[in-house]
Amino acid sequence: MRKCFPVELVLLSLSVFVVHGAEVSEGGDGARLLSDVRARVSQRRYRMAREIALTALRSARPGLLRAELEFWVGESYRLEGDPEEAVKALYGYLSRGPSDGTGAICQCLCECYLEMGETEELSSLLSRAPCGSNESDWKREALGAAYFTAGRFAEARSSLERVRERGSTTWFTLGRLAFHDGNYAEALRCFEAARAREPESFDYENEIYVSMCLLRLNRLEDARERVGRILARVESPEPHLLLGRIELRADRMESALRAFQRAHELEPALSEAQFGLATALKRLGRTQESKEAFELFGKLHEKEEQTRREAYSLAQKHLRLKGGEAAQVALDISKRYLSTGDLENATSYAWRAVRHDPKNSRARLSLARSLALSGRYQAASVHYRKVLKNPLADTENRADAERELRDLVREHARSESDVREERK
Amino acid sequence: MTASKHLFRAASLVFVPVLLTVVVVAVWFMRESDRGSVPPANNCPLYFEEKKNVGLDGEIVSGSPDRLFIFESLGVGAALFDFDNDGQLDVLIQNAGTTEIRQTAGKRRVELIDGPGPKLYRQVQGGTFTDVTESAGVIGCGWGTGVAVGDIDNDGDLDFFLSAFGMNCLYINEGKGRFRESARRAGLDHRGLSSSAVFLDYDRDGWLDLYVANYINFDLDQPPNEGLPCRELDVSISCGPAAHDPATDLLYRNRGDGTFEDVTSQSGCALKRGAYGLGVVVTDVDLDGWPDIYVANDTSANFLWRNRCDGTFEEVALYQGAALSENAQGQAGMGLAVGDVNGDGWPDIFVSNYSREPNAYYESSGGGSFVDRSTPSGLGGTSFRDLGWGARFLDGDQDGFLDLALVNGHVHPRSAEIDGAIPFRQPGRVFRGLGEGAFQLVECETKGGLSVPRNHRGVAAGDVNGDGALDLLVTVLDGPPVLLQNSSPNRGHWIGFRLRGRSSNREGIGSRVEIEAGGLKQVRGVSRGGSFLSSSDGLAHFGLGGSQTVGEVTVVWPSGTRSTFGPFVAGSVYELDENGSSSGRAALPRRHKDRAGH
Repeated sequence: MRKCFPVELVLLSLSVFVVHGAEVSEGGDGARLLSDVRARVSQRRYRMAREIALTALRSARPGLLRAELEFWVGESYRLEGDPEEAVKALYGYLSRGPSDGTGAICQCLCECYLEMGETEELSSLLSRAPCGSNESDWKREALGAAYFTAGRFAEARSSLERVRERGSTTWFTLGRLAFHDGNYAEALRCFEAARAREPESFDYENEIYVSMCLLRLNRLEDARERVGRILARVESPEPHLLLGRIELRADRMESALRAFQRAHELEPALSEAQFGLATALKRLGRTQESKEAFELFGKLHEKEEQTRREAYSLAQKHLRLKGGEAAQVALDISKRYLSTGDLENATSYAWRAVRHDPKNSRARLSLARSLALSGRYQAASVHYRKVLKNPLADTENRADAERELRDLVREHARSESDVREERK
Repeated sequence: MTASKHLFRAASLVFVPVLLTVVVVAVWFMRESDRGSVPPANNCPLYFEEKKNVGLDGEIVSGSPDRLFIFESLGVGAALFDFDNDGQLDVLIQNAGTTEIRQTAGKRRVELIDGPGPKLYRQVQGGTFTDVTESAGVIGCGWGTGVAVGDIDNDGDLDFFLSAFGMNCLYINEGKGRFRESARRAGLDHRGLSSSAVFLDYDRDGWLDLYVANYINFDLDQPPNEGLPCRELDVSISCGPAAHDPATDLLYRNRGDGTFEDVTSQSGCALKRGAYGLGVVVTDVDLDGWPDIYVANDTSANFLWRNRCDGTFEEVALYQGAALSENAQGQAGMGLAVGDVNGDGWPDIFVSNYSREPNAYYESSGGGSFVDRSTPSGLGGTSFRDLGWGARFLDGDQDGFLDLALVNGHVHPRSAEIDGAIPFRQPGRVFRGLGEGAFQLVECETKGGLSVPRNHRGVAAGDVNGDGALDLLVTVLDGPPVLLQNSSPNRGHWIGFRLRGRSSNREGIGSRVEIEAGGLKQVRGVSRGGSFLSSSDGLAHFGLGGSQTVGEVTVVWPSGTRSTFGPFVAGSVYELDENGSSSGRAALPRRHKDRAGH
């Protein structure tokens, strides 16, 4: 998932009062503690970082040091994949009134709301004190991103166009707006501008969008070259799919077939890969194989269509309900999307279910599953653990959570530090 | 002081009336300009100018203002046909109605309120129309949607079928300007929510059969979402197709005795589950001589019913590459146009889609297969914000290449509140064919005509004023229909053919007309269907560019007969008979003169 505010930026903005904080703390302990917290964060040992910060907070006096420690408590929750806890903690700190760290806390809260898809909460946060007391670029950027996610495109554009110093995130979201509008030349310009702001970093999503723009503009050779660059760094189904579509359009059937085959190998449930595969086979004259591939696609597609219909009706019902009932319907929707591999919607609705009813262990289990399948193992493990800690969780859910968490640890231990901690 | 006061008063007496006059004149000019009465600019190669005060003044009513139920946004269609055989095109406009919500015992029920009913207009001298609905015996058809025209009894005059939400209707032309409703007797009295329909002779027995696309199963007693509007970004809207069960289309076989047999099941057309059918067009995709059926389905894979030449069909759209978008998504297929766009002799298909979806252009790669060339053709993304409905390939500038007329309009009256870039009323578009399957959106300095934002739905094409160029008749959601006269400057020469079937159906529907002129081969399929809910004139119309003659014309009739005719001089409509004879008389003799600027 693309970061709305790079952590580096936040670190930079706080570095001023890091040094200053050390001066006001007793015997320079503050600086040492903060350095310890940051070291743990950079090692992705978020829980440990948070414990250090919480311990230090008990004796810290109001001031810059305290402000940064509070920020790190929230930020460590967020980075760990637990924006709910981050929100709780940060709101607690905000309720004590404005402090030197208010800006950073507000930024962290925005990040949390974006992750949970809480557009309304985010815009409400930024419309009142202390977070909304003045206008700034990061707030416009956050609102722009939130409005875009919520499908409020005019507001997103209005917010982003007021960003004075546009960073990569602003350009990226403006690019997505133009892409959504079908203005691919403008979108391409924005995505290239986003890239130019951070030339040394590789932004996967931005590169995918650049390639899609080139394809829509029918600049097939340029698109091919850009997808090649992505594939040199990342092996995922998406660029293979794109390459397949480019090659299909350019009548390079063998190459298209290889690309769709690779996408299919990487994600067998991906119906578009199956469709591309069948189309390329047909155009290569491999009739029987093509028919079989289309048949398989037809089954996947039919299931997706059915799910989409059911999800649509449930989503409308969900809008009419509140509390536990709303949670149940959101959970039903999430499960449907999960069954067709639509992880973005599955995660989004699982979050809604959890927000409606945080104690609903089935909702949380569904969220954990969606996150795990999206490759966000650390966040998934947080929610599996919450299921296990929930005294209201029934035996079946507990058993599922325990088993799935164990599997997660076994399969992805190397990729997530949090899971390493779990193993210990 | 007093003198200057007087001077000021005197100046005011002169100045104020002058100012008022200037303002009034300016406002009048602006209004006239909005009405499209300003003549086309010379730089506009394709222009359709609105003709006002021609007598087509009956209001179309299709839905209540809020349009909170999906069928209220469908709109209605229109037909251009010569029902009285006087050589001039007449007009039929469908009509719907409004809705009311009744709440009983806590349940919300939808009540349909009948609208003004369909209107039949006869063209009279001077290119104006007179309402003959009553005298013709056209008594209505409930909540109407589409219209299909065809000579179902081969008696030489045109009959029409009206699709509806409720019971469909069939009006048999009894001659002398009179019609008789006989859906029940004919076996076409299906009740449901039908949309577009088209006559075809699928079994090639010489009698026109009927395909009816059905949209959804809508239970008025149990509307979706418990009778409440759906919501998008807190805006109340009608629930989308996904909230409804799709309905299955119908195929009827004409027995030749005035009755039809429902052959949906035995033909195989029931094998495929319903999929929100909206548009339907008939064309022979594999050139095997048997008509195939293409259906635009809302939010789902489109259908291509391949005629198996034995009275049955198989659905092959997915396998033949004409079902989905390039990235395997079902789109909101609404209207359809078919024609040999790239001049290779194979029919290509255009499908209009929802806003923020590219329109689809499936180019035939031969043998009944298609390749999605929406983007390379220039038809895909060019009108990305538009929600497309009726569409028609026609050679508007008569240069020998098919152009595309497309009408648009959103389904949600409050669409701009959901997405500021998407208004409810949208302009129509004209794409100029450049040959080789490429199109360019025509953007003129002169506003008006088709480019006026309206809530367009159906479009039918035909030479209404008899000047040899194809004009457009457009329906809107609310308001009178719009007649758009082809006022494109510098049009090329033209020629038109009407067919007279003998062993084939009377109008030769389903025939293929091939010509060669100026080194360019052109093909037209004879059909009245396509577009959205509408029925065009059945004339095979060709633009000839600079050519003033056509050497040879070949007609492949539905019966399988192949006839050759010619040579012909441009600028007239000729009747080609299946018995091999051709009549030099123009079918529209009164004003048919080649007005090409050569």
